[in-house]
Amino acid sequence: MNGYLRSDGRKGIRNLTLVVYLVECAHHVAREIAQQFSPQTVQVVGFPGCYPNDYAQSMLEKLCTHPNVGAVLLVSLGCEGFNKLRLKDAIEASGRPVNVLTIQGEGGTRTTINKGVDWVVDALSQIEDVPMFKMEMSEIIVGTICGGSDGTSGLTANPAIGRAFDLLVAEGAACVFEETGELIGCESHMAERAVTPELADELVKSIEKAASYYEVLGYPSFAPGNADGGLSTIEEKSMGAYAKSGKSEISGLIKPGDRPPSGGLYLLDVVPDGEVRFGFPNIVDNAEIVELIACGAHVVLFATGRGSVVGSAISPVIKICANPLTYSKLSEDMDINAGLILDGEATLDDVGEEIYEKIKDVGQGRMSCSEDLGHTEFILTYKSFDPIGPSCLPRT
Amino acid sequence: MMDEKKQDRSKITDSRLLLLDETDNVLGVARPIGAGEAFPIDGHYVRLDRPAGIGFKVARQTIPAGQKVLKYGACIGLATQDIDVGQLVHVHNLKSNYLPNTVVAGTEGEGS
Repeated sequence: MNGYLRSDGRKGIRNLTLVVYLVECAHHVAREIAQQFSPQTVQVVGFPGCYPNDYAQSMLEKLCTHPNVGAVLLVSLGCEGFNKLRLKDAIEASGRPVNVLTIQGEGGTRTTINKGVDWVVDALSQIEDVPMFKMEMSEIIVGTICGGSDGTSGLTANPAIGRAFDLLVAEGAACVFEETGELIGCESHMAERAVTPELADELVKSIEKAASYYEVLGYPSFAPGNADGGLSTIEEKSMGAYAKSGKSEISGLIKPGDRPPSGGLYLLDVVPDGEVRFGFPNIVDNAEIVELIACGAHVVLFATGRGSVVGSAISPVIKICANPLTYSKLSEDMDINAGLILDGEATLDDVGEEIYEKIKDVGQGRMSCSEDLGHTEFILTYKSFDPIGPSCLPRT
Repeated sequence: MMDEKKQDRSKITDSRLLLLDETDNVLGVARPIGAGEAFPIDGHYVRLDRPAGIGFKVARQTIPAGQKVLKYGACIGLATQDIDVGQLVHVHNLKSNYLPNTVVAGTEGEGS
């Protein structure tokens, strides 16, 4: 693999330009600018709220300086609460071309769109020559998520991803699994795999936090479609989802935007800290995908049984289909058919290796299905987190 | 020789069913099984009272009401009624130890 070298030493597998709306009121202008280009080159991300939020600020800083990103255009209405200058400074300090267009100052929708398109054309030529260098597997960060789960997810796609994670961790890559709300019931199993007793406590606490958070909200992370597909309880869904983590020891617990300090396996705690304030921790799968990417994930492995079709802005999503019936209906959206395992045509190890090879392919520039189809979903909402403590990370 | 064969036959479980962990009292359904169809679990032939789609579960043993249901070697909830060998185990006879689901009527085993 060759990666685009960034000033902080990280390497990216894509060289994208982002157009970022800093409030919903600027979304249309941002979208119109990006639509003049292909979704594989220029993508729209942003934050809809008018009130400031530390989490959203930090998330956009991490995302705009992600190694897959080469240049950033910020689009502001002008009166929103987002601290655009702080965001611009962070991007500038990373050496990336950046500009802010304020609709109220530029003179309205059309003027801003025209200026934006001109700026992006210029930025694309500026980032054309970003140097590429050999990228080792130990430099890659891989996230994983499952969505549209059914009873096959935990039989095929999730454990196959676990096999791929084991291969990646052995090569020094950082692998991140997540959604503590969908690991309820797995806490004692996870604790046994922690590298330190202190981390074991943190892992258990993160699940207790998730269970009490969802209890206040009145629903577990369990959609009606999960039951239609054969899953009966949240802990059954959890055990199936947990299989994505593989068998490696767990090196640490991180929160959205924290970069894994070294290779190894990490749990991403996505449930906010403190009292329940902003509603459901993750209203939809893409909220979790964005958080994995903010932790530096170059690619995201997505296991689906029912058949999710989403991709993401910034990092390619590789879709691993658990259910052979779903695969036959939605094959154009699926990168890998893990359902072959149920038909006895492949083993978990076979599919694990196929996933590993697919990551390399996508790392070398080949588009994943969702990327090729132009999926660039993105969502960012209000949240709040306390920083992680030293017991969450491996001893140095 | 005869005894050995007998032993083997007594252990036969339908190839459409997956045992995920030795301690489990349910089996995962890899390929659909129709209602009324006879199939073996550990050599005992049983019939389903409703169809079991891919990804669903059937009881590997008798599970009395209140007992833990084990899959992946882990507890995935408690039986809410006595469950016979070979019967579908789903939201109609299994409940969470943590949080109840948002259950929609008509999701008891047809699959898709």
